[in-house]
Amino acid sequence: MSDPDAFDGEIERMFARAPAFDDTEAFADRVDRRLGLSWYLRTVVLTGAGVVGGFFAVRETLDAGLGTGLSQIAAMTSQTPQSSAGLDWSQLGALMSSRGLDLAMIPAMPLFWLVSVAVIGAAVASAVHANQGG
Amino acid sequence: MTATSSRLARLHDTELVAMAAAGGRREFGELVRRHAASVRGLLRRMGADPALADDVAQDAFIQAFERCADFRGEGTFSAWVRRIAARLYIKRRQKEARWTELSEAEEPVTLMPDGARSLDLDDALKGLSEIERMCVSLCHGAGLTQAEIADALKLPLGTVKSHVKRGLDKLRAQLAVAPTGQGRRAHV
Repeated sequence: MSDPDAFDGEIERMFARAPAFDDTEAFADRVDRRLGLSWYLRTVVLTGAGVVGGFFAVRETLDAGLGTGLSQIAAMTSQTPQSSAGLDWSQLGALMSSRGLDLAMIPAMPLFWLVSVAVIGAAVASAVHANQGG
Repeated sequence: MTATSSRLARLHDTELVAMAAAGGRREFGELVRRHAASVRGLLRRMGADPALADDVAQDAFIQAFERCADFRGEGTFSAWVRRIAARLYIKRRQKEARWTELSEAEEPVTLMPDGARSLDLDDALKGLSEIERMCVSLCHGAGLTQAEIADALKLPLGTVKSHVKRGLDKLRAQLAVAPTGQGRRAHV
């Protein structure tokens, strides 16, 4: 091995020879579990984002005058507006206001972050739980 | 062996990578099975303890799965993942300590007190200082150029060159005494 170039080639061949591991299958399973967890996390976060987005869409729609529209319809038909489930909207609104839960009173951005943090927290908790279970 | 695993075993790496890029986790699993030893072995040769080596190797494969679409097939898949793993390991180590400090702090192990012990590569690497071992492994195991190593380790190019040269000189001296065949075995 006096020739440096020949020795470089020899070293590269030695490095190319992978050592033997008897737990390759277990290692591959661990990688697959982590990939599964990563996929699960993304799904939960995307679903959460969809829920948050949907929630805000509904809220904005309500703010845009759906409540007023319902009242107008009720006035026109001389009936109390009720949902198909028999829910009295005016009573629900009064109840929420009395409990300090009037959504329209909560500023949009703080509410957005509040719900986002809750959804992300739930996603992380689920992921940790799933990981411990796996 | 199931029908699926025997089907996967017949596929070439590039075909498996293409399927993995489309989200095929089974196909990627086959790639992991094929190349895990090479990646884990390199990390151990770079000086990582077994637990850290496996941890970084897992990270490397996960990153490879996410970047499968970037794999152009210009080299082998194994070499591509080894480079990812090597860079991840460097980042981990850089969080812990500066290489300049490590290069002087580590005392190499004396392996051949009587000059007659047969050595393989993994034994011989233990006779190098940590930074020499790292530079030689990056150069000859991960396939990085010396300029890339200097960039990754944030060391001057001349320093990297001298670490590689000194490391190879030590390996040459240690491996030269190994009887034919004995010194060429690879195991961890």
